[in-house]
Amino acid sequence: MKKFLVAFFVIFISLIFVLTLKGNYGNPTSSQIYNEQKVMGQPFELSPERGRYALTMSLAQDHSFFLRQDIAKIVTPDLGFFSGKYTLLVSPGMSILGVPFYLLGAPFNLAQVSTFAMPAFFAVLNFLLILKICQQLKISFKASIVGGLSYLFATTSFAYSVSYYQHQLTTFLLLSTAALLFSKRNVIRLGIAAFLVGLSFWIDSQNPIFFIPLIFYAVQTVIKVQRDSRYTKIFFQARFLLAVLGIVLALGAYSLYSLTVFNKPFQLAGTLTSVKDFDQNNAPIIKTLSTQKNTSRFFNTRRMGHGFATLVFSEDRGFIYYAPIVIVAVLGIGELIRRRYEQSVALIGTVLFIFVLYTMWGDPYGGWAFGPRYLVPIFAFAAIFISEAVDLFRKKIWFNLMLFGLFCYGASVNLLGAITTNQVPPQVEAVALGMKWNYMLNWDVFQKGVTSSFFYNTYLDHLLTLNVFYLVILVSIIAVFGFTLFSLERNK
Amino acid sequence: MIKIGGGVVQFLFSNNLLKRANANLEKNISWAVLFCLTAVSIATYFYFYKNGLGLAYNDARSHLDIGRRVVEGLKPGLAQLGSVWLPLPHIMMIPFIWNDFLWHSGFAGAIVSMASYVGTGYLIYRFLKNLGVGYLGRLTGVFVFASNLNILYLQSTAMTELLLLFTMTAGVYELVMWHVSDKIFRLIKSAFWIALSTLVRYDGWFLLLWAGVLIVWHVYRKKGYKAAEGTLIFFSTLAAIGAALWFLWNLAIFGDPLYFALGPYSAHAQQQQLLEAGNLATKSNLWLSVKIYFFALLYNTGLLPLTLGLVGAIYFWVSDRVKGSVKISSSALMTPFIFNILALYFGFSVLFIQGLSGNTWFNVRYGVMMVPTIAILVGYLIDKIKDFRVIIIGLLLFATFFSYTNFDAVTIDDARVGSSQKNVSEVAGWLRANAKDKKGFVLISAASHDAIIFSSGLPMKRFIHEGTGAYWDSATSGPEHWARWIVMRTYDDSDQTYKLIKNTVGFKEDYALIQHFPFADIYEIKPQYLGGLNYEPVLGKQK
Repeated sequence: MKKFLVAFFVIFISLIFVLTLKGNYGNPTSSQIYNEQKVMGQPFELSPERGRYALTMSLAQDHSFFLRQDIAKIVTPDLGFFSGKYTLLVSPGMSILGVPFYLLGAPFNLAQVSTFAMPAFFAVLNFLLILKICQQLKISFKASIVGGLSYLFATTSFAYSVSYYQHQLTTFLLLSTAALLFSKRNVIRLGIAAFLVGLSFWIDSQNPIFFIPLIFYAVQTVIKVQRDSRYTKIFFQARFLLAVLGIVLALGAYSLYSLTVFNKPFQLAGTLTSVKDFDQNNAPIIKTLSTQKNTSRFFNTRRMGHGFATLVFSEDRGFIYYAPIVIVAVLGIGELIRRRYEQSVALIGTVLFIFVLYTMWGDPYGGWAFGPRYLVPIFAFAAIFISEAVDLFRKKIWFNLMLFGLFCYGASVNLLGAITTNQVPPQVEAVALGMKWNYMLNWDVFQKGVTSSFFYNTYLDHLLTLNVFYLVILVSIIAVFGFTLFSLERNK
Repeated sequence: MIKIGGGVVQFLFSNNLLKRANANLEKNISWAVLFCLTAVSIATYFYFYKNGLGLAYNDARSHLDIGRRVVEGLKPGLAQLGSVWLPLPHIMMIPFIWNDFLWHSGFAGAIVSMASYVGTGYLIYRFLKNLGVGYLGRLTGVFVFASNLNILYLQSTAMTELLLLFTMTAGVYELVMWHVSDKIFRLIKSAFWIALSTLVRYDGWFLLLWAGVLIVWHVYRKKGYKAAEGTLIFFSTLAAIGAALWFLWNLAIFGDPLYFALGPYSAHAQQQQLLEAGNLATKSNLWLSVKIYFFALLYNTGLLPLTLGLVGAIYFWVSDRVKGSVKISSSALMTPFIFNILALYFGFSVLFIQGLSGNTWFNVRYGVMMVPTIAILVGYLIDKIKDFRVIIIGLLLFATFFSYTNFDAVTIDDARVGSSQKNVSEVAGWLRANAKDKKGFVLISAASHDAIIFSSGLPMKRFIHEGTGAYWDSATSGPEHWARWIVMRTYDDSDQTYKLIKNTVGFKEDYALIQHFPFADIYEIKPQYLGGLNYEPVLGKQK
């Protein structure tokens, strides 16, 4: 029965993602992307997805980490310049993983759509990982479904599942590492976990920092202390030392890549010379030295207060506005700490590391974006605590109604983001541009009948209005969530 | 002992060995803390000395000049301590300030701050130890204080903050110890440190009042009114002596016990000017006062330590294991917070935060006053949260590391680009280049241009300023007999030199404007009048 239910939810979630995936039919060329698909509501509306997709294209078509000039043009302003060649200013891992998806879709003229499906694929895996971790922490199956659905549809995770962003992949690495570490320990699992830590560097150079609490948890569980009347013994299984090979392998591979491409063992893409644009003669316009990125300046401690307020309370990026369901996680923290102390410390520690890092981030807004995109991994961890809260308060009608209400709100807002645009300016820029700075902008786009949904634009445009399309999806999500939530007590 | 066998790596420690190691650690860790603090202090001083930031604050240069005037100048002596600032920091410079290098490098003042840095760090350690906090909590508390870049910067300068932090923390520490032990010697020690703090800044006066209230409350509850009254008088005899002497000093030197508060160079007079210019927005605005000081606190301590400190405060106040008397007496740690808000509210103090008070900083360093308190609370929290402690320490290390890579010290910004700095290098540079090797005195107002005096590199005895008695009186009534050069802000009556000489015939006829700089003008006596000048300090010793 449980397997059947899991299959049902996976199919349901996949279906929702198929309906909301951003894209257009065809294998877009660089000039099509540059001329037609850079505008609001189109799949390449923002530079993060353009940049990563450009490298995927280059790898698939030219087998090169360096971009042809026509491809390079679509990447600005995230374009790097090295030894007269163009490359991406962000880590290459996401683009490399996107190649099989690209190649899979290309023969069917769906290269872009299938590549954009990769984050959705990982989002589904993240849902399964949330179920797995909840199971490891002895949280009920249905509560974990509630947590998982909350993460996928009632947070900004939704909008970043259907576009070509790295957040689901980062979340996958974090959740799978946690799941491996919470399982029965053996050297293979520890080795894979270590490998995933190293792999995270391929996705975003700051990612390994997020794993520090999980690494500490791993070390803590491997090293044992025993005391008797005469001696204190600290010991560990020597074979666990082999697990370090995992991280060596992943980082060694990165070093090899960096050495081959940049002649340096650890070149951070973000610190390369940056190209702002191209001039009329197609010559690159290099950013001035003062605007070039400096690794040490990625994090700005003076701005922590501002970053905190932005990510929590601000109208444009505060999770209070975009994913208030996350607050419910607070109700589960105490109980989970009581029941599973060490694991809870590792999970909360991870959340704190991610949060503190992004409060220091020079641009906590995440550029033009829908909601707090950097907090997507935190939302996944919060889902585990939401599940715990569901178990704890399942008999309380006020709790169920509150959770349901927050889910409905979150799903309405985030579905709106998923099917319209991520091109939402932060308030500081929006005011000057005379634009809106939160999901009210998505609402305006939606009211104009503009959607980024590949499925709607390709197959349903003539059959039903965008309003109906939106309502069908929303009602389906809410119905499934509501059914799961309110049937909990009966099935407990 | 290390054993490897059966695929297991074992480290075996005899429990006796661990006990001995623990005992040794307990015995020697204080020395290790002191050694580390001293090493960090020296290294940081050299860092800021090398990059020239150690003297970036104009006030730092003024403090050094005040100390110097006591031992060198046209009228040296203790009276040069003046009334603008409380005297202890300058008195403590005297053993070093006579040396030209120690004066101009700022070391004569910085060494006081450095010793205070080491002392405050150690007191935080002792405070936490006496609260029953383990090694990790104690060391984390010390780390939060000692690694704070604002603290590290200020301890490398001749500013007064670190000395104030040290004397106040010592006073509170001994006060808390007295609450715990009721030993009279602790109360005497507390009174001694609080007395010293009252001679550093007026924050100490507020602590004196607060401590008085705490003492009365503590003794009254235990022994009744008579004992409370007696203990308060006993405490005040020593603790209030600094404040009493300050009134006496002002009466003896300036003829008015309230000269420091209401005189022409007092903070009150400066605040009045700011008020008239509409720059004292916090006056009578409690919310803005709280907001401004909160941001100063936030920028000086950092969001993470501040947040952890607040959580630590909650743990501290709800803990059953901390005695009620310790909790109440520890409230003295909060006095800088209350004092600074009240000072802003009543208009005794001014503080600008960039973004809240226009695009500048001013006196933002007042926010460091709570750093020892925050450090103690973070150390306490670390002790209480057990398994989360490694994560919290990791986060603290992480944030500290990036505060260094960003050079994120708001006090440095305050000193370099805020209203606390004035670009005097042009005027001082001119004097150094054109007056150093020539004979003659420079007439200048120290109240307005102490930083120029310092930065010029000329000996103090080359300057005729307000503190030079008969020289000043003579030179301002007939500058042509005394001043080869005059440095002043023309047309600005707040510059005492201009105010006094503007109508003299000598100034009008005998001087030519040589240089005009944004911050001050330089006048030189015309060559034909050089013969009428005094080049030597002929007025001799003055009273």
